[in-house]
Amino acid sequence: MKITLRCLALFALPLAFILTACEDDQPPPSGDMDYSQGILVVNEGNFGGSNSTVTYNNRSTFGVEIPFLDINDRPLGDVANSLNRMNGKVYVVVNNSSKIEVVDPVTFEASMTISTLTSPRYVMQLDADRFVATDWGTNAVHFYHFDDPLSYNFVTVGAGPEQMALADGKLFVANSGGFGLDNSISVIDPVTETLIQTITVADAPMQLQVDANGKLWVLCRGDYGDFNDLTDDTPGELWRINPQTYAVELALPFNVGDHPARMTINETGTKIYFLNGPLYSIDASASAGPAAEFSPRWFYGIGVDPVTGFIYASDPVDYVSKGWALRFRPDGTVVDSFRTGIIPGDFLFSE
Amino acid sequence: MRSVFTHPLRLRFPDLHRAGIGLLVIFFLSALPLHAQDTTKSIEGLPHYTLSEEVIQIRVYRWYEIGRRVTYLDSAKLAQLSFSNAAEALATLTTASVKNYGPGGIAVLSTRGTTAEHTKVFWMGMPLNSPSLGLVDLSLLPVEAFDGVNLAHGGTSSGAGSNATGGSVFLENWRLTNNKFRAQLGLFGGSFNDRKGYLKLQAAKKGFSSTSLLYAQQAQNDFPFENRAFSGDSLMRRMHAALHGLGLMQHLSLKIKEKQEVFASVWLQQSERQVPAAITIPVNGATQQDSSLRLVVGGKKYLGSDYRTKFSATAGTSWEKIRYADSASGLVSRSFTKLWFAEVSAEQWLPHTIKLSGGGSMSLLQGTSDGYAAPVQEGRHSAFARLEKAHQHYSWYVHLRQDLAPGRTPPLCPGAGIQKQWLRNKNLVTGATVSRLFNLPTLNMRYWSPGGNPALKPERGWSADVIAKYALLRSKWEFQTSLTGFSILLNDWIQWQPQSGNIWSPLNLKQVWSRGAEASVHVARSMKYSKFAFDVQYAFTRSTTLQSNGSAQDLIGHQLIYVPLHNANATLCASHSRWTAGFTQVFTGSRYTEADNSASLPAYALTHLFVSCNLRLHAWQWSLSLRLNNLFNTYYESVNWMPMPGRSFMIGLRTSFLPSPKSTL
Repeated sequence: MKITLRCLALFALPLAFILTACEDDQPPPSGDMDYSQGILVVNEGNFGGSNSTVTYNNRSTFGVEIPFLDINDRPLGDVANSLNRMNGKVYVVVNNSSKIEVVDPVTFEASMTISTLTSPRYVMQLDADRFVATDWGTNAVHFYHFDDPLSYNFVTVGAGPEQMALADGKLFVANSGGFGLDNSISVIDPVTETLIQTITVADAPMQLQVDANGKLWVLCRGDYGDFNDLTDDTPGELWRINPQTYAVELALPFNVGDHPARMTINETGTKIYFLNGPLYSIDASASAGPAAEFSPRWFYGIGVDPVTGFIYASDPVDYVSKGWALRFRPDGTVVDSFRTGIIPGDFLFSE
Repeated sequence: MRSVFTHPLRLRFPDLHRAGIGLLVIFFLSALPLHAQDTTKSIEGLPHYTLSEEVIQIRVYRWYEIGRRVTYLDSAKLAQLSFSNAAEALATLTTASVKNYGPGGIAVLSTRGTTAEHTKVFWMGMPLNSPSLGLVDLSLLPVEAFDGVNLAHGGTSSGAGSNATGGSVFLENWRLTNNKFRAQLGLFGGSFNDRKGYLKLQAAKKGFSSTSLLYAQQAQNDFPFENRAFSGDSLMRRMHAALHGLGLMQHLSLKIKEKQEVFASVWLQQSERQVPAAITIPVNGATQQDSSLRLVVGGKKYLGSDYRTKFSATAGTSWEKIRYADSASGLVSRSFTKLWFAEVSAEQWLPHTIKLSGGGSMSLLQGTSDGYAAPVQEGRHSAFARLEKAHQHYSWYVHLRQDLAPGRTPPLCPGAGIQKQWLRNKNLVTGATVSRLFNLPTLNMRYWSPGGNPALKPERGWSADVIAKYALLRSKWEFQTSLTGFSILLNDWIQWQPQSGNIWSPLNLKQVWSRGAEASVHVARSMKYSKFAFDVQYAFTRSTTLQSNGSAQDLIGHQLIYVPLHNANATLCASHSRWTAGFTQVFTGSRYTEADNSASLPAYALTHLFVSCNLRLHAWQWSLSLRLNNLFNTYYESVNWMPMPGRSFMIGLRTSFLPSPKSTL
């Protein structure tokens, strides 16, 4: 019996220690931070993982994760896709949480949550009073007034509307296809909030930019078909379109199997940067390809800082751990890098 | 009814030595198919022994028990969790880690720091792991469907093949023997509109045995939880988590002659559920329909007067149909997989109580899915040989297995185990086992479009265990304890990650090392009208990335996500006269939710209470049971942002009709 009791004690003591040694998670100190004087990186997090975050970098070496949960007593949500600064606020579009968080750019305190979209992707300011948001869930563009964002008008567009751009007084919407396939751009009259026309481009248009000449650049991802069969892919293409006549001025097809997905433009609108695996650049006035390889490294998101002219590109590493943002000079040399959250996707720069 | 203190595999003999060859026969017959085990304490073919005052307990070993830790959940233990599912039972009564997406959602088992694809689940000798996903959704398996659930901890690829790299679960069904009839009806109701019921009929006569089980469940699962995801009400009710399901299981066996037996089992199951989402995802219209058909037929034949030669053959098929639809995205995903399985084996006893066995199996995996460009199929075949020695003081086995899979042949897979009962103190047993491991890629990993990677290599590695067990058994006291150390090294660990264009694709990325220790203590005391038992289990698991072929080099050394460092549970059970009551305390340690260990889910401890009253009126036996789950209403999440129910109850009435008063059922 002595053995029994001794053995019992030997097992019970460590177990009792373990059962009582549970520590509560301590929130990290938030402090009085000003998040308005630098770069914001929105980190998608993993689908279903609800681990989206925003990283702040004050144009120095270190990035800090904005403690949204501590500031607002709720998580940012699931798959934050993009963010934009409009009307003195930062709008964070959280795709799979079906919401847009409207936060103060300095404190990141949320003043409002817009929950009238099913699967929001991007937001953009139209004018002093209004902004628009694309919604995959309803295949529509929602028109909101800043002073009453709880009510909205919507215009049905193609499948899977992604990025938008204003050119020639018209609102262009890239219809990526969403879970299927589309190859169109919807043209909307922003005044009457009605559809004007639908123009056909290459498969899966994702990103739109307007250059210094007022021309519309369209980055089409192309279709994968059977992922394991490259021969049935339709290649990605980069188009430059005259927004007035819709004439295609430049069409640069990529190699079969290439599927570019991200594009941005510098502050002066003279140089286009896009990701096709590596980072490429092309002059807005180019009359032919190919584009020049800016960096051979594989990136996920890109942005150009209007203040410094530096190009930022994000590396998601393995997509489950924290990524990196790299800072390039316009000549292509690397300045430095800083840590981001999981799957850094979109950049926003203070001016 | 079997006492909660009696293990079905414990036999009582007057004298270990006098048992002689009979004991060996017990040992040898332990290799009988799992389904052929009796619910009584007798095992076919055994000589009879007279019970005496001196009681010695003898364990009957299956090959996977030698030198490793096995957790047994017999019908008495499972009765504590009346009409819960296998996931809840394993999460409550073992130290394995269950990733539970909450009521209505899926629940999968991970053992020893690996993932759900690394745990193999067997029913009637046939693997249940989905050919397309590689895992088993344990939330759809009601405990009432099984007479026992055994969890073999650690890698057993040399004996059980692919998927058995972290552990193996054996779902057992025992047949009735002799001339008996039994009917049982169970009705349960509980919180959140949970309604369950089952009807079980068992009959046996002249070598023929039949067991029929019909079960049904429906649950709204609309439990309240603390809203931490959105601004607004602090208390919300879980939405979109309803589940209803129906199942039918039929077992037939026929002993044609004394040494010949055939059996057939069929299991039909259908369920429909609203798939709950993380509470950060407000728009959720996902539903899932699961249908399955499983059929196993087989037979065995002994040759010789002393049962020295045995031939066995088993064939089966498992069809699984899943339809997932999300009204929010318009996405509809259908998958239909078929597994065809056949295995033959032969066993021959050699001198010196050594048994040689060998055999082969053939499997054909077929799958159609909206995610596949075309219907796919692949054959997987294996040949195996086993040499084992059974002795009352020591036993060992050596395995050799070679699997064949088109284009990616896994390595020759040896394994060995040894267990020794020390002569100085026969209550002390030490053992060790080692096995090479492999894990074949699933159909989804190879053929999913886009993203499937046909060039994937099998995961491969090694598993090793050492174990020490001590038992002190007296007429009124039982004390048993065990301590296990383990190590699992897996190379070419497969992980999905996006490639160009954000298309997720599986790659052989990492080398993962899982190691740790497990301990258990069992104490029981029997008195004239009362009994009590106390069980404690603890597991320490450190599972880290040793090398990475990817760019995430800084994850090396970090604990894998959703692998708790500490897991423990304790159960105190007491019975007096017709009353039984007890409580279970389950502790789950903190689990990292990010690969760089920067975020984690907090640890939680849950307390469950159960009480039951059993009454016998002639041939009828009645049992009224009440279970209180999560007594202290602890908020916890098994998966990030997937809330689990707070305090809840389940009340059940079970009645059994037993015409034979001598039945031990």
